[in-house]
Amino acid sequence: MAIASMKKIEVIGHLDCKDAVLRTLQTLGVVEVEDITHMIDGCEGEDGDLSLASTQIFRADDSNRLAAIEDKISVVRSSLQFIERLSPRKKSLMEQFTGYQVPLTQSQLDEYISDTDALNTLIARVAELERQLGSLEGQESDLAQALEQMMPWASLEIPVESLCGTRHTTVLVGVADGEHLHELLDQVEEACEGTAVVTVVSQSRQTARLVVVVHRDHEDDVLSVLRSHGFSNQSFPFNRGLVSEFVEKTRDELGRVRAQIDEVKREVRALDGEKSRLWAVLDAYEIERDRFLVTERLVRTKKVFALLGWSKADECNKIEKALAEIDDALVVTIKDPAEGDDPPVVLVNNRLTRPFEVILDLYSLPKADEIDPTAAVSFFFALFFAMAVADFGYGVVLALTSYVLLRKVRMSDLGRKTFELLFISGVAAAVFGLITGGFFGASLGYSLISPTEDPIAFIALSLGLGIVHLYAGMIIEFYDNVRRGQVMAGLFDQGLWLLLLTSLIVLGLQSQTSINIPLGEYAGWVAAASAVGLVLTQGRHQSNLLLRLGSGLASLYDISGYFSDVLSYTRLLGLGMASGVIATVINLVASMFWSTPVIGPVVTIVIMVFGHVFNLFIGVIGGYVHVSRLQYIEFFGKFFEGGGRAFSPLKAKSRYVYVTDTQQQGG
Amino acid sequence: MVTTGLLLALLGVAIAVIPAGIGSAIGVTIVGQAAAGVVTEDPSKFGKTLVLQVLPGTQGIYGFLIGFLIMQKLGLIGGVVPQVATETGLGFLLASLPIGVVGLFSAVLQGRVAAAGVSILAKRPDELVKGMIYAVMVEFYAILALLASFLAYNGVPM
Repeated sequence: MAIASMKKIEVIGHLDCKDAVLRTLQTLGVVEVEDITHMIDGCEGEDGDLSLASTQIFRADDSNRLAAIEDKISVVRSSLQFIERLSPRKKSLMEQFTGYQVPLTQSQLDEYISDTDALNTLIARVAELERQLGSLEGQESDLAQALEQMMPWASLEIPVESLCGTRHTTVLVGVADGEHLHELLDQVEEACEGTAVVTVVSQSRQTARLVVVVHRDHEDDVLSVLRSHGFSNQSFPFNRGLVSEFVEKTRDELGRVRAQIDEVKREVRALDGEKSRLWAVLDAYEIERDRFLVTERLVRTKKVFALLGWSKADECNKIEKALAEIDDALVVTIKDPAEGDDPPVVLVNNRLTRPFEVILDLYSLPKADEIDPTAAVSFFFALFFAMAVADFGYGVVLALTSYVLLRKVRMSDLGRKTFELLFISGVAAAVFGLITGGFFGASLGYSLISPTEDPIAFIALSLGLGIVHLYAGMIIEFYDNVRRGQVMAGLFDQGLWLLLLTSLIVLGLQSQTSINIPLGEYAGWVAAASAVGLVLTQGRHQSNLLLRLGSGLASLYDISGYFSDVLSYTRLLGLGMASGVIATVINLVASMFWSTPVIGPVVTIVIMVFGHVFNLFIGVIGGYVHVSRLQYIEFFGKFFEGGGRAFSPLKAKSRYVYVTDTQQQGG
Repeated sequence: MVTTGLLLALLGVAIAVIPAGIGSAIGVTIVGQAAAGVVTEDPSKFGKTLVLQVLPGTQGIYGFLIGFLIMQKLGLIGGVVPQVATETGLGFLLASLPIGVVGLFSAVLQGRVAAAGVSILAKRPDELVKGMIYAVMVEFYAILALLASFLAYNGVPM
């Protein structure tokens, strides 16, 4: 409905109170701390140089404590990641949208955070397991590699220590190209003049493993033949015994290592329950880190620090009281924002309109001095969404599903708002479904207006409501202009256009239909007058008289923009009709199976359930996005500027855990 | 007796259903491939990629919708061979052109935009809706074509 009025809070105090002040502010969670360090740029001295003037100002950074906490965070995080890798938590499809937090009781949480011994033991234990696992996995890969290399040699029936030749013979052991093995054997035969024995230990398409015993006189000849076939020597990772024995031994060893790996992994999985301890501690650490990060936005002298913050006006008393309890000497000043300040923006809406803030969040927040359009957006979004779905059954299902999810599933703020929005829109769709008479593609037996049965009337309704939507946007801008004291701009830029468009619509209706519109006979004159008015006023920023008229004339071309804006609302018919006809088709296809004996009714029901769920899913996505577009492009285009900075107070924000047994705090 | 009119009308059904269906199949493929890449990195984004992937699928539905409506108006669903005048058949054929042609191209192009939206999802998952809005910009023209086809179909007398 509105944008909250914001106050500026200045806090000046002794450095000793700085931590207490920030801690208090974080607990309250209602103050955004602004970065004021840019104010001291240029007058900053060498840190720690106390010989400088006593008014020396520094950044109040906490880099040592920040670095320390970042280290702790990374240790806890890596422990968590290690456990999570071996014992992952499967996220359900729902949680992918809503996020997941670990539920804890308050006493559990306190125990986790205070028991540093248990934490350190756990972290050490995880690190030890991680080290063990790493070394075992290294061994495993070495063994597996050796095994893979030696397997093809397993049928070699000579112990490796005997592969060393004699006075007259040399033994060559190695791998050669296996594709032309016959050629190789022939060439060796030729080169050695019958003094070589070649044993093929194993052969595959690419490689042949050979043991060649050759007379020393022919060693070089044979070797060069072998080389030409890509021969390379094979060494063995052991000195004595048969390859087959080695393979057997390695296999046993590998089995043993793998069993150990499984054991370590089991031990890690046994730590699964300790993940919540780590999440809880990580949460606490990150909250602390947030506070140290905010410290970097403050400035200090040798003895005193200064903080500048923003808060909602109605929270100021609470803040002052809480700060006064820390130290009497704290100077807390609360001011209105001055000219040139850029206060953060908080939207204030009631239960019904608050969910629709997500539509704005995804686009842009209004500037601090703009009008909050959430209320108007809520109304039109729900209305247009209802027209796009236009089915009583679908609306009820959507509303019920959203309601159940809101009740049963813990969601992030964004998720909750989105489903509240879908709940309200679902109710609207159900109400509109009562008007169209649509019920899961069938008819309720009557229809006041329906996208499938009377598309022409529905298109007229879409365009008509579209015009209302656009007019609402222009009227908001008119009001905003007047509010800022720019009455002339409001009258010329919005008033004249409203007159021109209205009179053109009246003219159009009179020529195309037989509707009798009161005062309709003057429409032509009003249209002409407002057009002339626009030509005269729309160029008023130009100083040259000719340019002024030129700009004015050119501005009449905007009429095409309004035309295409209005046309854009025909999508409501398209969506409503598509959804309605598909629903009918689902029913028709399903009913074809009804009379089949035995399985017929089952097939019919299955088709109907899956079909309607799918159609509703597509319809909701399509409706959500198309209707959002109508807000962003057509509606916001008429008045909305945007670019407001979202309020992000320093608060103790739990990211990973939540407490189950305390009453929900407001905000 | 199968008349020329019936054949023309059936050709109209084919022209509505086939190109739009092909376009959607291609569009959904493009997004699916991009999505698979993102899910390789972060499986928990599967649900969100699905939302983007269905977007270029609607043209196929629109084409089928017009085709189905024509078949229904012809009385084909009932199983009796209907008698259709040549002009009527030609009317249905022409009515199905907008959604057939626009459906084909817009689905493929929308698929590309949605695939780009998937890369938004990869880097800034919270901005998913913006990627969806971009894709829906393309969809509007398919909706206009659907409306044109539907209104023309509505006007063809049986």
